[in-house]
Amino acid sequence: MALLEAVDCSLSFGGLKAVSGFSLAVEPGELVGLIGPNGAGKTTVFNLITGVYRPDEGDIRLEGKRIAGLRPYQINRRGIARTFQGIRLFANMTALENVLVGYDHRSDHRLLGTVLRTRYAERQSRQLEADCLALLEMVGLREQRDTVARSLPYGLQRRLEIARALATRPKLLLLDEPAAGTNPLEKIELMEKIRWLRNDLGLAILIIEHDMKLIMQICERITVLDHGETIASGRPEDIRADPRVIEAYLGTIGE
Amino acid sequence: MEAVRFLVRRNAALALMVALMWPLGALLSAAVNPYYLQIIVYIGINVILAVSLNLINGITGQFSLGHAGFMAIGAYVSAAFTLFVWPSAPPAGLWVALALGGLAAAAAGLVIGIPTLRLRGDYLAIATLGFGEIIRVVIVNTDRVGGARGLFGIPVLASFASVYACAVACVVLLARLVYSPKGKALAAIREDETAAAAMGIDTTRLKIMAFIIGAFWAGVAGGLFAHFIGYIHTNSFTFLKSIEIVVMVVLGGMGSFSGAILAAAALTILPELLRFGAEYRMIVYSILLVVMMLTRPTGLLGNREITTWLSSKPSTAR
Repeated sequence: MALLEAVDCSLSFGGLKAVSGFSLAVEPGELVGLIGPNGAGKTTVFNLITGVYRPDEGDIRLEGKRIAGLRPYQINRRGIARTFQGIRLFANMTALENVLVGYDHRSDHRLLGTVLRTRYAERQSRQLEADCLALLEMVGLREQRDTVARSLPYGLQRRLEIARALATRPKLLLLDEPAAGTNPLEKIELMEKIRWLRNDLGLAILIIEHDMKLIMQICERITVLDHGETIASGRPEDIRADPRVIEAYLGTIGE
Repeated sequence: MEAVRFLVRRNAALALMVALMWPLGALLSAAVNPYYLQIIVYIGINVILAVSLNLINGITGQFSLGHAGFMAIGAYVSAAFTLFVWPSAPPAGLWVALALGGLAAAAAGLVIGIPTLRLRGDYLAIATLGFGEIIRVVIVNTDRVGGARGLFGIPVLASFASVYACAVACVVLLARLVYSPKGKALAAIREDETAAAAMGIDTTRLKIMAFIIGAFWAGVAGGLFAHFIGYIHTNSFTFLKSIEIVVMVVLGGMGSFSGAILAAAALTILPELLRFGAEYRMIVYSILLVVMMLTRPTGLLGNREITTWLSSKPSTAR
């Protein structure tokens, strides 16, 4: 059974069809790319999957259970985490605190226990902190644990956002242009990290990226969107040769 | 058993601090003149109000303008209890009255929070302002609690000790909450609500929780106020009082506990110091506020807004 299945999803804003008839299946542990020109509807697809929007038509299932119509926090708890196109960290909080927020819903600490400082609550918050530090270590941010997020260099902010998403223990990670605004060297490093994450944590990853070359290198499967419609889907080498994809990216000759 | 011992150890310091308020109160009432003592007690009540509003406005980032309404509920419910339900209450009856006042305010916080916390920013401020006024108008029109005449003869059961015992407990317990992982989730809502929801945080539930806790302490402050003065009138709980509390939080620095405490003390003392100016004192008070905000903008806006203010400056100044 596929981990994530989107079947025939459509969404309109007023008269504008942002996404129409979108279908996608992501298998456990798979690395799938979602590409397309600006305004093709890639981020809208992410917003549909994570519950920011509800599809007008169609169905979205995670492990066979319907998630379309659930609220974003519920979908996250079912196992889908995301990063945002423009970084949306908790800017005035430290790196450690940012990750801690991602962990929050997994702890069952009660308000009264926290306020009265029961042994259980204290043990749990110590455990939480240790888990967070391990995660920061993994993405190479342990030294910056007490740095306020907005003072981190751009590349590290990107990494922190991924760490924060990982803290929610997702089965599927959605990355919205994780390499945007980073230099070529950082890009390669990041892509290696992403591949490593998938292999090491057994995550399925769905990734939006503009850089065709980059995405062709790391993804097993690619879906191409244009004007809200899926124009191609398949292995990277097939996508590269697809005339409709070439047309969408480069335009038609003689136009 | 071990767990109970742990709990006692973790709370012994707090219990000791609370208990110390009684000898301290006895000492102060012997050494300080009653006028000063009264101001000190007002400071304590305002500290509870400012710190509890700070949880809602400063930490969770939900701009509420209805805090005086919750204070009014706490004041009237607790006063009604000691006047009509248990008129011969011993001094310890105060704690029952305060608990009831706080719980009534918390219940009102739940009822008001569910519809209004869907709103953001200015809309939330206006909605909470409206609810605060509704509470006041309902009380004015309820003859049973004195209506427009006010409520007289409330037994004077509160003193320096009980006010500061509550203030210490309020500050310590709320600080523990804010510096816990749960508190980080509250701050995340302030920083970016969409991102917080995407991280699995039930933002609506947590916002309502913060609102209820804040309302509870405002109710307790109201109960203390009623049982310290012995007379309450709705004029003490107008939206001007709500604004006064907001000013304390903003002036202290949004989200800062020590800031809220300092500002509560300063803004309670300041009008008293300016008494010599008679009618002009409110003008002087306002000018002082403006000057403080201009010279210490971090106190006014907090870090978040000051960065946007600084970064937008070059583009507007040509």
